[in-house]
Order: sequence, then C-alpha cells, then structure tokens
Amino acid sequence: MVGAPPPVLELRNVGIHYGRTPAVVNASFDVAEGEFVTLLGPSGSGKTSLLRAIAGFVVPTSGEVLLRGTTMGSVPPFERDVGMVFQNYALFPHMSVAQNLSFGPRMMRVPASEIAVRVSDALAQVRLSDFAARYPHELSGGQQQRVAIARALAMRPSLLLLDEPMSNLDARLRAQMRSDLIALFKENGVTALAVTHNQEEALAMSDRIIVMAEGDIRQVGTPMDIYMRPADPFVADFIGDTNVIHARRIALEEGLERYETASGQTIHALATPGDREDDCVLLVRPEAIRVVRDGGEASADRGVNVVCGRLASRAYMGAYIELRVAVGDQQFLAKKAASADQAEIEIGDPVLLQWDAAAVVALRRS
Amino acid sequence: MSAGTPTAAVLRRPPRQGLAALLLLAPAFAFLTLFGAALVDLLEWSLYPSGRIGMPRTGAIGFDTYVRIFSDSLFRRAIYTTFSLSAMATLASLALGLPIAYWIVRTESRRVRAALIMLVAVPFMTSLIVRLYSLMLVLGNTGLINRLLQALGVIAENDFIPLIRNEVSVTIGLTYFVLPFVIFTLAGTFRRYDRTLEEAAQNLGADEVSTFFRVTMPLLAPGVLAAGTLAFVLAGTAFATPLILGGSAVRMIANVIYDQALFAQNMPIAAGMSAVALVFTLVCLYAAGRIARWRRLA
Repeated sequence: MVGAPPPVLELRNVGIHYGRTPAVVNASFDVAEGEFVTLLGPSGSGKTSLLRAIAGFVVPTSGEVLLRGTTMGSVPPFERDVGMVFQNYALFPHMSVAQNLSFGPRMMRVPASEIAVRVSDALAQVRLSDFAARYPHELSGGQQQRVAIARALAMRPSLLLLDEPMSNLDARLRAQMRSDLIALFKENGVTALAVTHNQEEALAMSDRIIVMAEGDIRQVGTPMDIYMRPADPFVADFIGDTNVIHARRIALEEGLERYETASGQTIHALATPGDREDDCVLLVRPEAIRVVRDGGEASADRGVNVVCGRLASRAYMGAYIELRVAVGDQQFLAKKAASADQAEIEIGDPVLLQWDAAAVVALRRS
Repeated sequence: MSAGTPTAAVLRRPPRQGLAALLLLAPAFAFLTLFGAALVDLLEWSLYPSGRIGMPRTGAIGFDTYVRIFSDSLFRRAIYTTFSLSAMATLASLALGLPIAYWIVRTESRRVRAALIMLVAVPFMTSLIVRLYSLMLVLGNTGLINRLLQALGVIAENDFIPLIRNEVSVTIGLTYFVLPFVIFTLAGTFRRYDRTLEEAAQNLGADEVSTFFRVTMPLLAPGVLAAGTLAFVLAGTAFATPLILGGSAVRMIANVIYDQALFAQNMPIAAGMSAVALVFTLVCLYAAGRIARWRRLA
C-alpha cells in the first residue's frame, strides 16, 4: 500500500438524530495513532452521542464512521475494535477484578494462557496487581476507574473511548489521575478519544481538542490554539474566562486595527489578514489585563490599550486575585498574581486597565 | 455541652452499655419472649396425644401426631395441595409480574407508570376478603366469565365451566394475592439494575446472547429468586383464599390448622400442622439464601 496508513478513527459528515431532534448535525474529524483527542462541550452539545456512535451503540443518521479505514456502518458494538471506559465505570459487580478484566479477551476467544498474561499486564499497568481477587464494591472510586481502564486495555483495542473519565473522582484525585493516565497512554501508545465538559481537564490532557456546541464542531486545535486563538466567542467563553467587548472597526492605522466601542472607547488590536466585518467582538483574557491605580501615568504606547474604570470587587483566590472593574455599564474581569508587593486598591477607587494590542482576539460578530 | 442542642449531643454520644440500654430494650425483649413462648407452647402441644384449647394437656408425650399427619391422606393431601398450588401461583405470578415490573420501571411516560403503579397498589391496599368475593363474582358458575362464554355461544345457555371451588380458582386467587408483592419486589430489582453494564459487555465483545447469560441474568436472578420465594411463602401460608375460593374442595395447610383447632378440637394435630407450615417457610427461606450465596449473587 502506498501512502500514509489511514487514521485510527475517521468521522465523515456524521449526523445523529433521535427522532426529529438532531443531536449531532455534521461532524468530521479524525484521530491519529497514539493521539489523545478530547471532545469538549457543554451538556447537550452532542459529544456523548458521537462517542456512542463510534462505540456502535447508536447508528448515525448520516455520514460514516471509519475505524482504521474500514466503514463501520451498522457493525454491532461487540464486533468493533474499540474499548470504552464508561462514566460510571460499569464494572460487573458479580465478578472479581480479574474476572472483569478477562471478560473481554474471553469473549474474543483469546487462548487461556494469553488471557492470564493480558490480565496481569493490564493490572500491572494500572498498579492494581494486588487487587485481582477483589470485587468492585471493595474498591475506592479511583481504583474502580483504574480497573475500568485496565479492562478496556486488556482487549488491546485500536481506540480507547473515555466518557467523562474524571467526573466521578474528587478534585485531588483528579489531578493525580490526569497525569497518571497521560503517562500510561503515552507509554503504551494508546490512541484515545475522551468526552468531557471540563475545559481544564481537556486543556491538561489532550493533544488536540474538538470543541462542540449544539451538535456542531466549533473548533479543532491544540489546547494552546483553542485558548489563545478561539474561533468564536462561544469557544472563548467556554474555555476559561474571557472579556467580551462589542466594537466597530474604524480603520487600519500603522499596522494596528482601530476599533471603537458603543461608549466611544478606542481599542487597538493587531491587524489580521482576511475579510473583516465592521461589527466585531473583541476578546481579552483576564490574565492579560493589568490593573493599576489611576494616577495619570497612563502608557502612551499605541500598542497598549488603556481603559478607565472603578474597582467593583476583589476576590482572593489563593494563587491569584480576581478583580472586577466597572467600565461604563460593562464589567471587566482581570486576574493578577497574588504577589507580596501590592499597592492595595480599595473598592470604588478609579483604576486603569491596560492590555497589549497583541492580546486582543478580534472576531466577526456571530 | 459545648456545642449544639442537648438533643444533638445525645445523638452524638456512643450507645451506652449499662442500665439505660437494658431499660430501652426491655419492651422488645418482652415481646420477643411472648412470641417465643407462644411458639414453644404450640410446638409442645403437638407432642401430646389429644386435647383442645383451654383444657389441660394429658397423656404420654411422643411423636404420634406427626406419624398421623404424614399417614392420614387428609393431611397429606393438604400438604401436597399447599405445595403444588403455591408453586403454580409462584410461577404464574412471576410470568405476569416480570413484564409488568419491567414496564413500570422502563416506561418513558410518567402517566403510564403512575397508572400501572395504581393498578397494582389499589388492590394491594384493598381488603383481601373484598377482593376474593369480587373474584367469586367473576369466576362463579353464573359469574362474568361463564355468562360471557354463554353470550358468545361457546357454551350452552344453561351450561357452565366450573371455575370456582376447585384448584383452578384457588390458584388464580393465590396468584392475584401474591402478584403485587412480586411486582414491587421485581420493580426494585429492575430499578437498581444498571443497563450500562449490558453496553459494557457488548463493548467487550459479548453478543446479545452472551450478554444476557453472563451479565443480565446473573444480576437479575437474585431479585427474581427473592420475589419467587416471597410468592411461594405467602401462597403457602394463605388461609382466606382457599377458604373462599376453594370451599370444602380445596384445603391447604392453614385451613386444616383452623379446622382442627376450632372444629375438630384436636389441638395436637393443629399444632403439628403449624410446625409443618413453619418448617415449610423456613426451608424456603433457607434454600433461597443458599442458592443466592452459592451463585455468589447475594
């Protein structure tokens, strides 16, 4: 065969309807060997429907699902080379850990001697070798999750699907499991597609993120792409906090695009190629905004935006301080590191908000 | 008490071992003693050759009563009838109860669920006697079914199919009696059953048949077994149902006990039959427990 091997997973124009209600409108993407891709979106965005369609629990209304280049069509779930880790883990309560793990290989008629090897390998991978004889109800939530992952891996599937893998773990365990999982997957060359509504989890774990909303794919990109260059206001708002400013484009001046808000504020952004509507949405991340007491020493640099406002609230968040600043009838959110040298700004004090023109993402108003 | 109300403090305190605990448990002990004594007294009755309630027990102690119970065809027949009719009612109630319970749990429509629950719960909370007499009106020789068959021309105008005062009517009655218990027990099992387990099995390569035998059945079996045991025990100790729907033609253990104690004035036989009924119940419960544990299902 000539050329690159087909991707592990490929979706071509997949649409999923439940009766008349569309869950997924038109989804196309692929997952390459060894990649960790996350479908990220709020509930009802269609991400779980896609996962279930790939596993074979739902037959797409239109489009195609291909696994290693083979069209799945209506191939039943038990004939697909796909492992799945369910949100509630779905461990068989009447079977021991070892029996749970050997279930898949046994169903696939793997020889008994190899089953034993696979089970002990998979248990070692998730560091649960001493728990083979236990029953699921005797394990903690984190251990149950690892059993669920080991059970899927014991099948040696081409693709591992994870449905909200961290949602049933407590916050501290979550952070630990994230890095453990990534290490495990990278070591064993596991190709995985996860579904989550947790943007932090998606950013931390994924090679690529697919942002979904209302049954549509809004953006596909690396975590950095998605965060730094969101394709639309929804993506920007869903991934982390963001300040949204409605403005009109006035002119291109010396390499900077000049915008004006309804209240007459001037805001500069870097000029970007391509068509640009006059009606725009400007996005600024809170951590890009510096808040200083209004002492009249505003920067004269054209590359820095300066806006006057009054401090409306302040919240100490440990690692950083969250400041809300009222500018006209709009509120700006700014985050600054909680360092020691703080000139205290009191609530109600006049302040200046400053951010670089390069930190502004300008989007056509949708 | 530094924090909380006095009540909260009392609730938080570990249970006391001393006199107060004994005093609190005293009523429970008194009741248990009373029930236990009554039971022992009853079993003791079965060891005497003759006597009736209120009279002193006389004669030599022995097991003659049990020899009589198991050799007299009247009593043996009652035991056999009890077993066979209870078994049939159990099977019938499971056959009817499984789909109904499944429907109650799985239906998407809240109205259908409410209607089904009402349909099961209303008779459940109505007097058994009223329900049995209403069943007589349906099954009787001039009852609803026979009149319907006459009207349809299936049977002659003055003819009827005997549906009352026989084993058929008692089995129907027992099924009707135990069905709500079966449905509610099964519905609880179905509600606890997580269907993503079936998806997990299929994802792991098990086809529909393997999924059913390796996952669905082993997980639902304990509930079905519990419902069946309950139905069998309830039917086996029924009294009013065979009395009203069976008349003198169908006599189960409870009816024999009643007749022997109050009409034949033969307390030893009544007590012996009671012991048989008690053993019947205990054996059922023990067997169900053993099967569940043996299959690792409990």
